Amino acid sequence: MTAKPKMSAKNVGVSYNGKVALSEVSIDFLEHDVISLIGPSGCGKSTFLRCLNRMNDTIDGCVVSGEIQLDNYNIYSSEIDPVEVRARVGMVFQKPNPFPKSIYDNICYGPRIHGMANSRDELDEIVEWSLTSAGLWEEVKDRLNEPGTGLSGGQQQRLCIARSIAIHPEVILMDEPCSALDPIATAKIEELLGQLRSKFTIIIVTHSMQQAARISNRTAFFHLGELIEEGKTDDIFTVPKDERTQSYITGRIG
Amino acid sequence: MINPMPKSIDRGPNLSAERFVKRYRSEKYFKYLGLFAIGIALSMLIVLTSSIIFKGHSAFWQTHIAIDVQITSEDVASISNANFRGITRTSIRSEFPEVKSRRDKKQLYKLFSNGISFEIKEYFFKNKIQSGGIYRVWVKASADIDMLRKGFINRDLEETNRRISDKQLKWYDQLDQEGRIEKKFNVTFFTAADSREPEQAGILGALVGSILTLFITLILSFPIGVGAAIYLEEFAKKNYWSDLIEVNINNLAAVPSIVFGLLGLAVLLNWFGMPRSAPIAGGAVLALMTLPTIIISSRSALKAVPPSIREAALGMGASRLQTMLHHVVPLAMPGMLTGAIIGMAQALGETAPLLMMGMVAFIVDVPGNLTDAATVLPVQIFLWADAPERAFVERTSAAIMVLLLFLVTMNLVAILLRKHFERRW
Repeated sequence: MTAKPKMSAKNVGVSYNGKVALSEVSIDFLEHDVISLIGPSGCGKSTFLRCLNRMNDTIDGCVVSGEIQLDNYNIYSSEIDPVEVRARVGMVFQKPNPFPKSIYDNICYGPRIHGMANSRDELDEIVEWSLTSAGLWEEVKDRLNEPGTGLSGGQQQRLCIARSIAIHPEVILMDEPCSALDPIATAKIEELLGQLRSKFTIIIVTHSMQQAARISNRTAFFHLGELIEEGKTDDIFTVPKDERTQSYITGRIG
Repeated sequence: MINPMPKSIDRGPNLSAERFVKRYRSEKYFKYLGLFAIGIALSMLIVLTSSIIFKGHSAFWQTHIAIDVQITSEDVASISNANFRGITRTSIRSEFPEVKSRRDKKQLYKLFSNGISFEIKEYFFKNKIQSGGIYRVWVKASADIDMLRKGFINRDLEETNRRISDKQLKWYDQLDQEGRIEKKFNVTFFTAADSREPEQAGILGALVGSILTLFITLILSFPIGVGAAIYLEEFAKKNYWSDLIEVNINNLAAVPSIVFGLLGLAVLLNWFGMPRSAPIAGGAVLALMTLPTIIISSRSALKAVPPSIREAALGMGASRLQTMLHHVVPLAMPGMLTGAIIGMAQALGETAPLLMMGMVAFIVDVPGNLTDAATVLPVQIFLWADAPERAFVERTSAAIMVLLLFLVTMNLVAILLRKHFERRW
């Protein structure tokens, strides 16, 4: 690997009201890569993910230490506006959370607040491209004015993905995006991830090791607030270096 | 590891018929209890409204007497200079030529409202009458005759015990036989402000006063209340001070309203020198009183917005203010409006603080702007309930009806607004 990392974390620690949730995490994420974060519940992987676009700022009592670089800028430096970070690093949540607005308005909310479209036509283009990229266009093109909350769970999650890619983020963070979905919807999203990796860097938290194995190029294993091991997905699942990783992937801890 | 099952679990649930019967019986009793409670509440409401309607409906009708007004062509030509008082009295006297003594004449005039010369003048002016002659004009009867007509005065009492003398009764019967006494719709009640004479008193002054006062209350308390709620809920750090503020706001909601009146008297009137009895001062005090209600309900409405919406917007790179204004506040709007309805309904019915602010004055003009002396509906009701004349009894109930109608209209508007916001989202 000679490519420079898109994002890199150095000695990141997080504590909630003095209680340490994550400590000493250092990891690099390459551009146009899919990276899975796995680990048992409560191991800090979601907490770490939320550090990457400063979503933890919104939680009272949450303190983040260490450094996270995005293209060599420390996103926690005082000169950086968290709003800018979140525009460059998008996020898809565990539960689909479309705005209670029309499908069209859901997609164009981001482009509107970031002043991306100069005309109605451009906005229409953004909506069509985003929905097509999320594999949803054919299903909803005739009902763009209907509320996004009226779609099925899987469609809602793809709508949320479409919404986040509409502002062309450089990195997309996904927090167990398939945990509330059935296997068919999950398969669709996984297929979608395969297509999106050509344009975006994707960091995904997942509980399913099969999913991690299917979609990601690299995998990081978290346990009890620490990053235990990070490497090529194939290596992690076949020749893990750490005993705890071995135990987890074989189902003995977790 | 062996984990022996306790006997109580091993026996399994008791699904016997008796237990089920007992369970359903208590459910049934509870249902009846609820129905009973609703029945009591409903019947109270029905008793209240029907008694108000029963007592007040007659106020919407006013007894009128027709008099034949003799007017010369000179007087018609210059209506503004004509002596209508004289014309009226002459016309009345000519109906009853037998009345000669000064005392009897005085009694005769008392059949009529003392404002009828203005009514007659108005009649000629409005109908643009150009030539002299005899015109039949329907004018208001006095409140006593009105009460007699409506059956509130007992003819069988001794003369000294009733407000209408035997002679007046005779004249009344004479006019009645000629078909010259009629009850007509009481327009004055809806077009006039307060008066010492019941037949000339109306509710419009108090209604306009209430509207102006509530307008001030709304434009002060809703934006300030919602703004405070948004700040406290979304921006303020949770610490000792925010807890202190929260406790104080909750306490303020329970402060007796008369205390707000004293505050208004001391600060708004004495210190800031706001005009006494004016809607602007009354509205400001009511706004202070309404604020805690609006803040508390707005905060709970904001709390009820799912955090996932906030996260979605923040995750899209929206700033905190954008997240609030584009997503959270519109979703919380129906709840905020509910708080505003409750607060405004409270303010509409509030009397005590306004008494302190001098809004209890006797005001005979409909207020034209926010600094005019005014009174409000509940205070008007209080004043009329206190008045000694029998005719004010029905007017008190009629004023209550107007107040309730105003309340219902206000709530209806708010509910429609709430529906509108709910549909948009």
